[in-house]
Amino acid sequence: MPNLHELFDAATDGLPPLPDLAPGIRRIVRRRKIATRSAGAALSSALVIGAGTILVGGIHASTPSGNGFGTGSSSSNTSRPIPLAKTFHEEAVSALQQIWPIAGEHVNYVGKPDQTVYAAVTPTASYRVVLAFYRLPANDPQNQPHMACATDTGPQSGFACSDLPDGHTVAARVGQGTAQFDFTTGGVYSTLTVIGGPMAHIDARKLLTMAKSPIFQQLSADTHRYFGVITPMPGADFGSAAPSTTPSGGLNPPDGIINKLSLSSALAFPPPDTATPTPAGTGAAYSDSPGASVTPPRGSDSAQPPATP
Amino acid sequence: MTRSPRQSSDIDETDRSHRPGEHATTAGLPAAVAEPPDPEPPDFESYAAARQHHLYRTAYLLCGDRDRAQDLVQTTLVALLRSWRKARLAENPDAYAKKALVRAFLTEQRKLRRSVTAHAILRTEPGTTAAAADPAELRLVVLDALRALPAKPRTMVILRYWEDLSVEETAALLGCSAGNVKSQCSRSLAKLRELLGDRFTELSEP
Repeated sequence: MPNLHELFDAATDGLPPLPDLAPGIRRIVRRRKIATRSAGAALSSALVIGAGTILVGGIHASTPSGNGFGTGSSSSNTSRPIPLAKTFHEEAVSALQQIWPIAGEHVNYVGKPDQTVYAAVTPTASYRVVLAFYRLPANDPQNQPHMACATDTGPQSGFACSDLPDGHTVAARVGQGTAQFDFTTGGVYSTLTVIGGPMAHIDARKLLTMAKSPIFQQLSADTHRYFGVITPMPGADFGSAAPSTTPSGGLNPPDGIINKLSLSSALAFPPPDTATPTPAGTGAAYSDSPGASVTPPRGSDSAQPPATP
Repeated sequence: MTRSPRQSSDIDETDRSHRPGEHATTAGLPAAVAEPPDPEPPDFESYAAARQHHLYRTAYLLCGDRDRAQDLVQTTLVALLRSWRKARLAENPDAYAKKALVRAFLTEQRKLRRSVTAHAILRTEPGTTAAAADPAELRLVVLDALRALPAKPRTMVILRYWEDLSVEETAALLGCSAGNVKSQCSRSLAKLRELLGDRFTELSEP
């Protein structure tokens, strides 16, 4: 009586022999390996491209608050300065527009991506507005509250001084074709300079109001996020011990603050394209920017006696 | 077995990690105390040439179709070649091959379950081996009887009574318990007894 093995043996005994399958098997395996590698390479490429697209898209989609993708703290500025600077300029224009003391004037950004130069424009006049922020070392004398408020050495047509809520001093001065305020708080020396001939409608009190406004204070505090992106903000990173070698007249930042890019170079930035031509016989054009024009002052109500500390 | 130069180079590519004579000495040990050399593992071509017909017969018993059996053998050998570096050094490369074959069959069977079911409805009842004097007719009767079994019990019967594996080996190969193998084989033998008659040793009542 046969067992099952013999039965199965008999059932499969008549099968014809197979051809040699090994060479074909090797070809199949080799072809599948190549296909797998190709698929892997294609997948890797797709992943790299996708990741790059997401990264670039995330950078461009950064929100003004800086919380968007790609606005983290990285020491590399090579790929992200322009979007960050653009964000700052949008914030600065918005802030300046809200606190600008002259109604009807429109604030535009007219600088390069890394320069904080703006313009306040009316149909007949334009001012150049330069923001500058300098980071100070913690032990810098200027970084202390309740500093004495003193006038600069140059002639001043108006001067005002006040204290910020944290005790730091803010000073504003209006001179020959320039107006400026500056203060130091939170380790940042902040200054705003307006250039546009005699300051008809900007006086020291208005400048102080601008400087002390929460909007500008917030803008100043936010500049920490843009360190290395906007200029000038080199501060202590360029060596706080060395004295400044860039003369800039009465607009120099306080002693001990080193700015690689001088404020005077920022002030000499070309004027905005939106400036209107100078009416004949009025105003004075800048020597380094012949296209700029400034409406002459319409009075001298901003003139104030220089204040003393 | 003679091979073409192309085949030889292919073998060298696959077998680069293990060359003849590597077993002669063990790293860090003097040659005098090293283990004696193992017999040289077979290369894939010689193994395939020696075993492909047996795999073909097993596949034929599993699926009952020559073309499908040939496809199963090819799938099995492809899987075996992909893990040949491990399989060739194993004590029993046949275990790799059998496992690959069974997996290929069960996977294919799951995909073809509906068509196989429809085909089974159309098929006539198998005859008995008593009436199958002709070998060709005997083959048809046996294959029909095997087809009447579900795929996994059929695989167990073939592994147990054609490949002569033990209950434990069959259970390990199929990834189930030994008790499961025993019970399934018992039920399958009863079914085969019903279909083929009791003229065979395993089919007789104990």
